[in-house]
Amino acid sequence: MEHAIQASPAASPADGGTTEATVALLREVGSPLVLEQVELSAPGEGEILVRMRGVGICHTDISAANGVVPIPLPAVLGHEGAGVVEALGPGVEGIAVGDHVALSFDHCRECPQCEHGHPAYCELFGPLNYFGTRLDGSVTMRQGESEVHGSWFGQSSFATHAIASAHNAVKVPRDLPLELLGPLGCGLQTGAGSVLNVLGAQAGEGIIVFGLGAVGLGALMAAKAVGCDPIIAVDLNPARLELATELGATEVINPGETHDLLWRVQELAAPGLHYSFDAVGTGAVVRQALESLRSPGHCVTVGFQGLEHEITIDQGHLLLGRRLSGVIEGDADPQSFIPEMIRLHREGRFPFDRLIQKFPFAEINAAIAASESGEVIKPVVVFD
Amino acid sequence: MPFFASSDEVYKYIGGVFRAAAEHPEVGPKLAAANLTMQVYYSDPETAVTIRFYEPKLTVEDGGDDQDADVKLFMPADIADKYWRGEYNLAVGLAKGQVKAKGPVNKILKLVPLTKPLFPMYRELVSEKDAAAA
Repeated sequence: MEHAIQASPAASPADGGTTEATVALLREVGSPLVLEQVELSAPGEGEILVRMRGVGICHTDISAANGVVPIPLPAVLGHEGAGVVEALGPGVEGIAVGDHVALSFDHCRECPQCEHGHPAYCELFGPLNYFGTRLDGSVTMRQGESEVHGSWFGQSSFATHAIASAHNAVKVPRDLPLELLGPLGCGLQTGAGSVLNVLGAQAGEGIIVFGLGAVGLGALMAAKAVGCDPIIAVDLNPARLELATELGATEVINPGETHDLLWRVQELAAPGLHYSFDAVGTGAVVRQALESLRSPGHCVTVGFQGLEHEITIDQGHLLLGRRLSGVIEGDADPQSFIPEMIRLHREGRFPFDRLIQKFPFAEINAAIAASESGEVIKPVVVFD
Repeated sequence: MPFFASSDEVYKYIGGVFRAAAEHPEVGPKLAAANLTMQVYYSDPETAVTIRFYEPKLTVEDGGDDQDADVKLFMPADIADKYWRGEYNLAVGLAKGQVKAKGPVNKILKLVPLTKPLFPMYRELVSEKDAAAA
Protein backbone atom coordinates (compact mmCIF):
# COMPACT_ATOMS: atom_id res chain seq x y z
CA MET A 1 0.00 0.00 0.00
CA GLU A 2 1.30 3.42 -0.93
CA HIS A 3 1.54 5.98 1.81
CA ALA A 4 1.88 9.66 1.23
CA ILE A 5 4.70 10.79 3.46
CA GLN A 6 3.69 14.12 4.78
CA ALA A 7 3.47 16.31 7.78
CA SER A 8 0.94 19.05 7.85
CA PRO A 9 0.14 21.13 10.90
CA ALA A 10 -3.59 20.85 11.55
CA ALA A 11 -3.26 23.95 13.69
CA SER A 12 -0.32 25.82 15.08
CA PRO A 13 1.35 23.53 17.63
CA ALA A 14 2.19 26.64 19.63
CA ASP A 15 -1.54 27.28 19.90
CA GLY A 16 -2.14 23.83 21.30
CA GLY A 17 -3.06 22.27 17.96
CA THR A 18 -1.97 18.88 16.76
CA THR A 19 0.40 18.03 13.93
CA GLU A 20 -0.20 15.22 11.49
CA ALA A 21 2.86 13.14 10.78
CA THR A 22 3.80 9.93 9.04
CA VAL A 23 5.46 7.47 11.37
CA ALA A 24 7.00 4.04 11.01
CA LEU A 25 4.77 2.16 13.41
CA LEU A 26 5.65 -1.03 15.25
CA ARG A 27 2.32 -2.81 15.74
CA GLU A 28 3.56 -6.26 16.76
CA VAL A 29 6.86 -7.55 18.06
CA GLY A 30 8.97 -8.90 15.24
CA SER A 31 6.82 -7.49 12.45
CA PRO A 32 7.96 -4.96 9.84
CA LEU A 33 7.33 -1.29 10.54
CA VAL A 34 4.33 0.19 8.75
CA LEU A 35 4.06 3.78 7.57
CA GLU A 36 0.91 5.31 9.01
CA GLN A 37 -0.50 8.71 9.89
CA VAL A 38 -0.72 9.89 13.49
CA GLU A 39 -1.65 13.09 15.26
CA LEU A 40 1.16 14.52 17.38
CA SER A 41 0.10 16.47 20.44
CA ALA A 42 1.27 20.03 20.80
CA PRO A 43 4.65 20.12 22.57
CA GLY A 44 4.13 20.05 26.31
CA GLU A 45 6.18 21.57 29.11
CA GLY A 46 9.87 21.24 28.21
CA GLU A 47 9.17 19.70 24.81
CA ILE A 48 9.83 20.74 21.23
CA LEU A 49 8.38 19.77 17.88
CA VAL A 50 11.09 18.70 15.43
CA ARG A 51 10.74 18.16 11.70
CA MET A 52 13.06 15.25 11.02
CA ARG A 53 15.74 15.41 8.37
CA GLY A 54 17.42 12.11 9.16
CA VAL A 55 17.43 9.31 11.72
CA GLY A 56 19.94 6.54 12.22
CA ILE A 57 19.04 2.88 12.70
CA CYS A 58 20.53 1.63 15.96
CA HIS A 59 20.83 -1.87 17.41
CA THR A 60 18.64 -0.78 20.34
CA ASP A 61 15.77 0.04 17.95
CA ILE A 62 16.08 -3.42 16.46
CA SER A 63 16.20 -5.04 19.93
CA ALA A 64 13.05 -3.17 20.93
CA ALA A 65 11.29 -4.17 17.70
CA ASN A 66 12.12 -7.77 18.59
CA GLY A 67 10.60 -7.46 22.07
CA VAL A 68 13.74 -7.23 24.19
CA VAL A 69 12.70 -3.88 25.71
CA PRO A 70 9.27 -3.60 27.35
CA ILE A 71 7.89 -0.71 25.28
CA PRO A 72 4.09 -0.93 24.93
CA LEU A 73 2.67 -1.24 21.43
CA PRO A 74 1.84 0.23 19.04
CA ALA A 75 4.95 2.33 19.27
CA VAL A 76 7.26 4.51 17.24
CA LEU A 77 10.97 3.79 17.69
CA GLY A 78 13.95 5.79 16.42
CA HIS A 79 16.42 7.53 18.68
CA GLU A 80 19.15 8.97 16.49
CA GLY A 81 17.12 11.81 15.02
CA ALA A 82 18.24 15.14 13.64
CA GLY A 83 16.04 17.89 12.34
CA VAL A 84 14.74 21.41 12.49
CA VAL A 85 12.83 22.82 15.45
CA GLU A 86 9.31 23.85 14.41
CA ALA A 87 7.62 24.71 17.70
CA LEU A 88 8.43 25.09 21.37
CA GLY A 89 6.43 23.97 24.38
CA PRO A 90 6.14 26.06 27.55
CA GLY A 91 9.30 26.55 29.57
CA VAL A 92 11.78 25.72 26.81
CA GLU A 93 14.90 27.89 26.95
CA GLY A 94 18.02 28.04 24.81
CA ILE A 95 16.38 26.63 21.69
CA ALA A 96 14.55 28.60 19.02
CA VAL A 97 12.26 27.72 16.14
CA GLY A 98 14.44 27.07 13.11
CA ASP A 99 17.40 25.72 15.09
CA HIS A 100 19.10 22.62 13.72
CA VAL A 101 19.28 19.96 16.42
CA ALA A 102 20.64 16.48 16.94
CA LEU A 103 18.61 14.42 19.41
CA SER A 104 20.13 12.14 22.01
CA PHE A 105 18.74 10.50 25.15
CA ASP A 106 16.40 12.12 27.64
CA HIS A 107 17.40 12.86 31.22
CA CYS A 108 15.94 14.84 34.10
CA ARG A 109 18.80 17.30 34.76
CA GLU A 110 17.82 17.32 38.45
CA CYS A 111 19.06 14.07 40.00
CA PRO A 112 22.57 13.75 41.48
CA GLN A 113 23.91 11.92 38.41
CA CYS A 114 22.62 14.60 36.03
CA GLU A 115 23.95 17.37 38.26
CA HIS A 116 27.38 15.75 38.33
CA GLY A 117 27.71 15.42 34.57
CA HIS A 118 26.58 11.83 34.14
CA PRO A 119 23.12 12.14 32.56
CA ALA A 120 23.40 8.68 30.99
CA TYR A 121 22.92 7.37 34.51
CA CYS A 122 19.99 9.67 35.29
CA GLU A 123 17.85 8.00 37.92
CA LEU A 124 14.89 8.40 35.58
CA PHE A 125 16.73 7.11 32.51
CA GLY A 126 14.45 4.08 32.17
CA PRO A 127 11.09 5.84 32.52
CA LEU A 128 12.21 8.75 30.34
CA ASN A 129 13.59 6.66 27.49
CA TYR A 130 12.11 3.17 27.34
CA PHE A 131 8.46 2.99 28.28
CA GLY A 132 6.56 4.81 25.59
CA THR A 133 4.97 7.62 27.57
CA ARG A 134 5.79 10.87 29.29
CA LEU A 135 6.43 10.56 33.03
CA ASP A 136 2.79 11.40 33.72
CA GLY A 137 1.71 8.45 31.60
CA SER A 138 0.37 10.52 28.70
CA VAL A 139 1.34 9.78 25.10
CA THR A 140 2.65 12.18 22.47
CA MET A 141 0.78 10.53 19.58
CA ARG A 142 -2.71 9.29 18.78
CA GLN A 143 -4.66 7.75 15.95
CA GLY A 144 -8.16 8.99 16.67
CA GLU A 145 -9.05 7.63 20.11
CA SER A 146 -6.19 5.12 20.14
CA GLU A 147 -2.93 5.84 21.90
CA VAL A 148 0.34 5.47 20.02
CA HIS A 149 3.39 5.14 22.24
CA GLY A 150 6.28 7.50 21.64
CA SER A 151 8.81 9.21 23.89
CA TRP A 152 11.32 6.49 22.90
CA PHE A 153 14.59 8.05 24.07
CA GLY A 154 12.59 11.24 24.41
CA GLN A 155 12.01 11.45 20.66
CA SER A 156 10.54 8.49 18.67
CA SER A 157 12.10 9.82 15.52
CA PHE A 158 11.14 7.18 12.94
CA ALA A 159 8.73 9.88 11.86
CA THR A 160 8.44 12.97 9.73
CA HIS A 161 7.82 14.98 12.90
CA ALA A 162 8.52 14.15 16.54
CA ILE A 163 7.78 15.56 19.94
CA ALA A 164 11.15 15.60 21.67
CA SER A 165 12.41 16.55 25.07
CA ALA A 166 14.24 19.86 24.92
CA HIS A 167 16.85 18.42 27.33
CA ASN A 168 17.57 15.96 24.61
CA ALA A 169 18.16 18.44 21.79
CA VAL A 170 21.66 19.67 21.00
CA LYS A 171 21.99 22.62 18.67
CA VAL A 172 24.31 21.89 15.74
CA PRO A 173 25.88 24.22 13.16
CA ARG A 174 23.78 24.94 10.08
CA ASP A 175 26.60 24.36 7.61
CA LEU A 176 26.76 20.64 8.36
CA PRO A 177 24.61 18.00 6.55
CA LEU A 178 21.89 17.85 9.19
CA GLU A 179 20.42 14.56 7.97
CA LEU A 180 23.67 12.77 8.86
CA LEU A 181 24.09 14.06 12.42
CA GLY A 182 21.55 11.89 14.27
CA PRO A 183 23.94 8.98 14.94
CA LEU A 184 26.12 11.36 16.97
CA GLY A 185 23.35 11.20 19.58
CA CYS A 186 23.68 7.50 20.37
CA GLY A 187 25.87 4.99 18.54
CA LEU A 188 28.86 7.20 17.82
CA GLN A 189 28.59 8.87 21.22
CA THR A 190 28.58 5.45 22.88
CA GLY A 191 31.80 4.39 21.19
CA ALA A 192 33.70 7.65 21.25
CA GLY A 193 32.46 8.60 24.72
CA SER A 194 33.60 5.30 26.19
CA VAL A 195 37.12 5.87 24.92
CA LEU A 196 37.36 9.57 25.77
CA ASN A 197 35.20 9.86 28.90
CA VAL A 198 35.42 6.46 30.58
CA LEU A 199 38.75 4.97 29.53
CA GLY A 200 40.43 8.35 29.22
CA ALA A 201 42.74 6.91 26.57
CA GLN A 202 45.92 8.88 25.85
CA ALA A 203 48.46 9.05 23.05
CA GLY A 204 50.75 6.03 23.01
CA GLU A 205 48.42 3.76 24.95
CA GLY A 206 47.12 0.57 23.36
CA ILE A 207 43.50 -0.43 22.80
CA ILE A 208 41.68 -3.38 21.27
CA VAL A 209 38.16 -2.95 19.88
CA PHE A 210 35.82 -5.95 19.52
CA GLY A 211 32.90 -5.50 17.08
CA LEU A 212 33.19 -3.00 14.26
CA GLY A 213 29.71 -1.60 13.87
CA ALA A 214 29.09 2.12 14.26
CA VAL A 215 29.72 1.89 18.01
CA GLY A 216 33.00 0.01 17.71
CA LEU A 217 34.21 2.16 14.84
CA GLY A 218 33.21 5.26 16.83
CA ALA A 219 35.50 3.97 19.59
CA LEU A 220 38.24 3.24 17.08
CA MET A 221 38.06 6.70 15.50
CA ALA A 222 38.20 8.33 18.92
CA ALA A 223 41.20 6.20 19.88
CA LYS A 224 42.95 7.23 16.67
CA ALA A 225 42.03 10.88 17.29
CA VAL A 226 43.85 10.90 20.63
CA GLY A 227 46.84 8.99 19.29
CA CYS A 228 46.40 5.52 20.76
CA ASP A 229 48.95 3.01 19.52
CA PRO A 230 48.56 0.13 18.89
CA ILE A 231 44.88 0.03 17.90
CA ILE A 232 43.75 -3.55 17.29
CA ALA A 233 40.39 -4.09 15.59
CA VAL A 234 38.50 -7.40 15.81
CA ASP A 235 35.57 -8.48 13.64
CA LEU A 236 34.43 -11.45 11.56
CA ASN A 237 33.59 -9.24 8.56
CA PRO A 238 36.61 -8.69 6.27
CA ALA A 239 35.12 -5.49 4.82
CA ARG A 240 34.81 -4.02 8.31
CA LEU A 241 38.44 -4.93 9.04
CA GLU A 242 39.52 -3.19 5.84
CA LEU A 243 37.59 -0.06 6.77
CA ALA A 244 39.00 -0.20 10.31
CA THR A 245 42.49 -0.12 8.83
CA GLU A 246 41.59 2.93 6.76
CA LEU A 247 40.20 4.62 9.88
CA GLY A 248 43.31 4.03 11.96
CA ALA A 249 43.58 0.44 13.17
CA THR A 250 47.24 -0.57 13.32
CA GLU A 251 46.39 -4.29 13.41
CA VAL A 252 43.27 -6.30 12.61
CA ILE A 253 42.19 -9.76 13.72
CA ASN A 254 39.50 -11.91 12.14
CA PRO A 255 38.53 -14.43 14.85
CA GLY A 256 37.13 -16.70 12.15
CA GLU A 257 40.60 -17.03 10.69
CA THR A 258 42.60 -16.99 13.92
CA HIS A 259 43.08 -20.18 15.94
CA ASP A 260 43.97 -18.48 19.23
CA LEU A 261 42.88 -14.86 19.40
CA LEU A 262 44.43 -14.11 22.78
CA TRP A 263 47.77 -15.56 21.69
CA ARG A 264 47.63 -13.33 18.60
CA VAL A 265 47.02 -10.34 20.89
CA GLN A 266 50.11 -11.27 22.88
CA GLU A 267 52.12 -11.57 19.66
CA LEU A 268 51.01 -8.08 18.65
CA ALA A 269 51.00 -6.27 21.98
CA ALA A 270 52.59 -8.17 24.89
CA PRO A 271 51.92 -7.95 27.83
CA GLY A 272 48.45 -6.81 26.67
CA LEU A 273 46.59 -3.59 26.00
CA HIS A 274 45.92 -0.70 28.34
CA TYR A 275 42.30 -0.72 27.22
CA SER A 276 39.73 -2.94 25.59
CA PHE A 277 36.31 -2.09 24.22
CA ASP A 278 33.55 -4.64 23.69
CA ALA A 279 30.68 -3.71 21.39
CA VAL A 280 29.38 -7.29 21.13
CA GLY A 281 28.38 -8.30 24.65
CA THR A 282 28.52 -12.08 24.36
CA GLY A 283 30.18 -13.93 27.21
CA ALA A 284 33.03 -15.16 25.03
CA VAL A 285 33.83 -11.71 23.68
CA VAL A 286 33.63 -9.95 27.05
CA ARG A 287 36.04 -12.53 28.42
CA GLN A 288 38.42 -12.09 25.50
CA ALA A 289 38.25 -8.33 25.91
CA LEU A 290 39.16 -8.65 29.58
CA GLU A 291 41.93 -11.13 28.95
CA SER A 292 43.48 -8.88 26.31
CA LEU A 293 44.35 -6.38 29.04
CA ARG A 294 47.72 -5.80 30.63
CA SER A 295 47.84 -5.08 34.35
CA PRO A 296 46.44 -2.67 35.25
CA GLY A 297 43.95 -2.24 32.44
CA HIS A 298 40.38 -1.21 31.83
CA CYS A 299 37.73 -2.92 29.72
CA VAL A 300 34.48 -1.27 28.74
CA THR A 301 31.53 -3.40 27.64
CA VAL A 302 28.65 -1.76 25.79
CA GLY A 303 27.23 -4.63 23.70
CA PHE A 304 23.56 -5.27 24.48
CA GLN A 305 22.43 -8.88 24.59
CA GLY A 306 19.35 -8.47 26.79
CA LEU A 307 18.41 -6.95 30.12
CA GLU A 308 19.17 -10.24 31.85
CA HIS A 309 22.40 -11.65 30.49
CA GLU A 310 24.74 -13.76 32.60
CA ILE A 311 28.36 -14.29 31.64
CA THR A 312 31.36 -15.89 33.30
CA ILE A 313 34.66 -14.11 33.83
CA ASP A 314 37.89 -15.03 35.61
CA GLN A 315 37.90 -13.09 38.88
CA GLY A 316 41.53 -14.05 39.48
CA HIS A 317 42.49 -12.29 36.25
CA LEU A 318 40.49 -9.25 37.32
CA LEU A 319 42.20 -9.02 40.71
CA LEU A 320 45.47 -7.71 39.34
CA GLY A 321 44.22 -4.19 38.82
CA ARG A 322 41.99 -4.86 35.87
CA ARG A 323 38.60 -3.21 35.61
CA LEU A 324 35.40 -4.10 33.78
CA SER A 325 32.91 -1.27 33.30
CA GLY A 326 29.45 -1.38 31.79
CA VAL A 327 28.73 1.85 29.95
CA ILE A 328 25.77 3.35 28.16
CA GLU A 329 25.80 6.39 25.91
CA GLY A 330 29.55 6.75 26.45
CA ASP A 331 28.83 8.28 29.88
CA ALA A 332 28.56 11.49 27.87
CA ASP A 333 26.67 14.71 28.37
CA PRO A 334 25.38 15.19 24.82
CA GLN A 335 25.29 18.98 25.22
CA SER A 336 29.08 19.07 25.34
CA PHE A 337 30.04 15.78 23.70
CA ILE A 338 28.17 16.14 20.40
CA PRO A 339 29.91 19.49 19.77
CA GLU A 340 33.22 17.77 20.65
CA MET A 341 32.59 15.04 18.05
CA ILE A 342 31.66 17.72 15.51
CA ARG A 343 34.92 19.56 16.26
CA LEU A 344 36.91 16.36 15.67
CA HIS A 345 34.92 15.75 12.48
CA ARG A 346 35.73 19.22 11.15
CA GLU A 347 39.42 18.52 11.84
CA GLY A 348 39.15 15.33 9.79
CA ARG A 349 39.75 13.15 12.86
CA PHE A 350 36.26 11.67 13.24
CA PRO A 351 35.03 10.82 9.73
CA PHE A 352 31.77 9.24 10.86
CA ASP A 353 30.11 10.03 7.54
CA ARG A 354 32.11 7.17 6.03
CA LEU A 355 29.98 4.71 8.01
CA ILE A 356 26.65 6.03 6.74
CA GLN A 357 24.42 4.94 3.88
CA LYS A 358 21.20 6.86 3.29
CA PHE A 359 17.77 5.28 2.72
CA PRO A 360 14.48 7.05 1.90
CA PHE A 361 11.91 6.91 4.72
CA ALA A 362 9.67 4.67 2.66
CA GLU A 363 12.46 2.06 2.69
CA ILE A 364 12.99 2.01 6.46
CA ASN A 365 12.52 -1.76 6.67
CA ALA A 366 15.24 -2.21 4.07
CA ALA A 367 17.46 0.07 6.16
CA ILE A 368 16.84 -2.10 9.22
CA ALA A 369 17.53 -5.26 7.21
CA ALA A 370 20.78 -3.76 5.93
CA SER A 371 21.84 -3.08 9.51
CA GLU A 372 20.93 -6.56 10.70
CA SER A 373 22.73 -8.27 7.85
CA GLY A 374 25.83 -6.18 8.36
CA GLU A 375 25.64 -4.94 4.79
CA VAL A 376 25.54 -1.33 5.97
CA ILE A 377 27.32 -0.07 9.09
CA LYS A 378 25.03 2.85 9.86
CA PRO A 379 21.86 3.17 7.79
CA VAL A 380 20.33 6.62 8.07
CA VAL A 381 16.75 7.19 6.96
CA VAL A 382 16.29 10.58 5.36
CA PHE A 383 13.19 12.69 4.79
CA ASP A 384 12.30 14.96 1.89
CA MET B 1 -4.57 8.39 56.35
CA PRO B 2 -3.98 5.25 54.26
CA PHE B 3 -6.63 4.44 51.67
CA PHE B 4 -6.96 0.81 52.78
CA ALA B 5 -7.99 0.33 56.41
CA SER B 6 -7.03 -3.34 56.71
CA SER B 7 -5.43 -6.34 55.06
CA ASP B 8 -8.90 -7.52 54.12
CA GLU B 9 -9.44 -4.37 52.09
CA VAL B 10 -6.15 -4.93 50.28
CA TYR B 11 -7.21 -8.49 49.52
CA LYS B 12 -10.65 -7.31 48.37
CA TYR B 13 -9.50 -4.52 46.07
CA ILE B 14 -5.87 -5.24 45.05
CA GLY B 15 -6.24 -9.00 45.21
CA GLY B 16 -9.59 -8.45 43.57
CA VAL B 17 -8.22 -6.64 40.54
CA PHE B 18 -5.71 -9.44 39.96
CA ARG B 19 -8.57 -11.97 40.20
CA ALA B 20 -10.51 -9.86 37.70
CA ALA B 21 -7.44 -9.85 35.46
CA ALA B 22 -7.39 -13.65 35.56
CA GLU B 23 -10.91 -13.72 34.18
CA HIS B 24 -10.41 -10.97 31.58
CA PRO B 25 -10.67 -12.57 28.13
CA GLU B 26 -7.94 -10.44 26.57
CA VAL B 27 -5.61 -9.66 29.46
CA GLY B 28 -5.87 -12.89 31.45
CA PRO B 29 -4.14 -15.23 28.98
CA LYS B 30 -1.33 -12.75 28.33
CA LEU B 31 -0.60 -12.35 32.04
CA ALA B 32 -0.77 -16.10 32.59
CA ALA B 33 1.90 -16.56 29.94
CA ALA B 34 4.47 -14.63 32.02
CA ASN B 35 5.47 -17.85 33.77
CA LEU B 36 6.66 -16.36 37.06
CA THR B 37 5.67 -15.86 40.68
CA MET B 38 5.43 -12.33 42.06
CA GLN B 39 5.39 -11.65 45.78
CA VAL B 40 4.15 -8.21 46.78
CA TYR B 41 4.61 -6.88 50.30
CA TYR B 42 2.60 -3.82 51.30
CA SER B 43 2.86 -1.30 54.10
CA ASP B 44 0.02 0.79 55.56
CA PRO B 45 -1.51 -1.66 56.13
CA GLU B 46 1.25 -4.26 56.45
CA THR B 47 0.15 -7.21 54.38
CA ALA B 48 1.13 -9.33 51.40
CA VAL B 49 -0.25 -10.95 48.27
CA THR B 50 1.30 -13.64 46.07
CA ILE B 51 0.41 -13.68 42.38
CA ARG B 52 1.36 -16.72 40.35
CA PHE B 53 1.40 -15.95 36.63
CA TYR B 54 1.15 -19.41 35.08
CA GLU B 55 -1.09 -20.97 32.47
CA PRO B 56 -3.88 -21.75 32.24
CA LYS B 57 -4.84 -18.92 34.62
CA LEU B 58 -3.04 -16.67 37.08
CA THR B 59 -3.85 -17.27 40.74
CA VAL B 60 -3.89 -14.93 43.71
CA GLU B 61 -3.03 -15.92 47.29
CA ASP B 62 -4.18 -13.29 49.77
CA GLY B 63 -1.68 -13.03 52.61
CA GLY B 64 0.77 -15.27 50.74
CA ASP B 65 4.49 -15.10 51.54
CA ASP B 66 6.51 -16.97 48.91
CA GLN B 67 10.07 -16.15 49.87
CA ASP B 68 11.39 -17.88 46.76
CA ALA B 69 9.24 -15.86 44.36
CA ASP B 70 10.92 -14.86 41.09
CA VAL B 71 10.11 -11.20 41.67
CA LYS B 72 9.55 -9.47 45.00
CA LEU B 73 8.06 -5.99 45.29
CA PHE B 74 7.54 -3.80 48.33
CA MET B 75 5.35 -0.71 48.26
CA PRO B 76 2.92 1.28 50.40
CA ALA B 77 -0.59 0.03 49.67
CA ASP B 78 -1.51 3.59 48.68
CA ILE B 79 0.89 3.29 45.73
CA ALA B 80 -0.84 0.08 44.64
CA ASP B 81 -4.15 1.96 44.77
CA LYS B 82 -2.77 4.81 42.66
CA TYR B 83 -1.23 2.36 40.18
CA TRP B 84 -4.49 0.55 39.57
CA ARG B 85 -6.32 3.84 39.14
CA GLY B 86 -3.83 4.61 36.32
CA GLU B 87 -2.29 7.45 38.30
CA TYR B 88 1.15 6.01 39.10
CA ASN B 89 4.14 5.34 36.85
CA LEU B 90 5.63 2.12 38.23
CA ALA B 91 8.89 2.61 36.31
CA VAL B 92 9.37 5.98 37.99
CA GLY B 93 8.54 4.47 41.40
CA LEU B 94 11.15 1.78 40.89
CA ALA B 95 13.72 4.30 39.70
CA LYS B 96 13.16 6.52 42.72
CA GLY B 97 13.04 3.65 45.22
CA GLN B 98 9.42 4.31 46.24
CA VAL B 99 8.81 0.76 45.09
CA LYS B 100 11.52 -1.71 46.09
CA ALA B 101 12.16 -4.68 43.89
CA LYS B 102 14.25 -7.81 43.62
CA GLY B 103 14.49 -10.15 40.68
CA PRO B 104 13.94 -9.71 36.95
CA VAL B 105 11.83 -6.58 37.23
CA ASN B 106 12.01 -6.19 33.47
CA LYS B 107 9.57 -9.08 33.23
CA ILE B 108 7.11 -7.22 35.45
CA LEU B 109 7.52 -3.98 33.51
CA LYS B 110 6.63 -5.92 30.37
CA LEU B 111 3.31 -6.79 32.00
CA VAL B 112 2.51 -3.19 32.92
CA PRO B 113 1.08 -2.17 29.52
CA LEU B 114 -1.21 -5.21 29.64
CA THR B 115 -2.84 -3.96 32.83
CA LYS B 116 -4.14 -0.73 31.30
CA PRO B 117 -7.56 -2.16 30.30
CA LEU B 118 -8.04 -3.14 33.97
CA PHE B 119 -7.82 0.39 35.31
CA PRO B 120 -11.52 1.19 34.67
CA MET B 121 -12.46 -2.12 36.33
CA TYR B 122 -10.45 -1.18 39.42
CA ARG B 123 -11.94 2.29 39.58
CA GLU B 124 -15.37 0.69 39.43
CA LEU B 125 -14.32 -1.76 42.16
CA VAL B 126 -13.26 1.00 44.56
CA SER B 127 -16.01 3.46 43.64
CA GLU B 128 -18.20 2.44 46.59
CA LYS B 129 -15.27 2.88 48.95
CA ASP B 130 -14.48 6.26 47.34
CA ALA B 131 -18.12 7.29 47.80
CA ALA B 132 -18.09 6.20 51.45
CA ALA B 133 -14.90 8.19 52.05
CA ALA B 134 -16.27 11.34 50.39
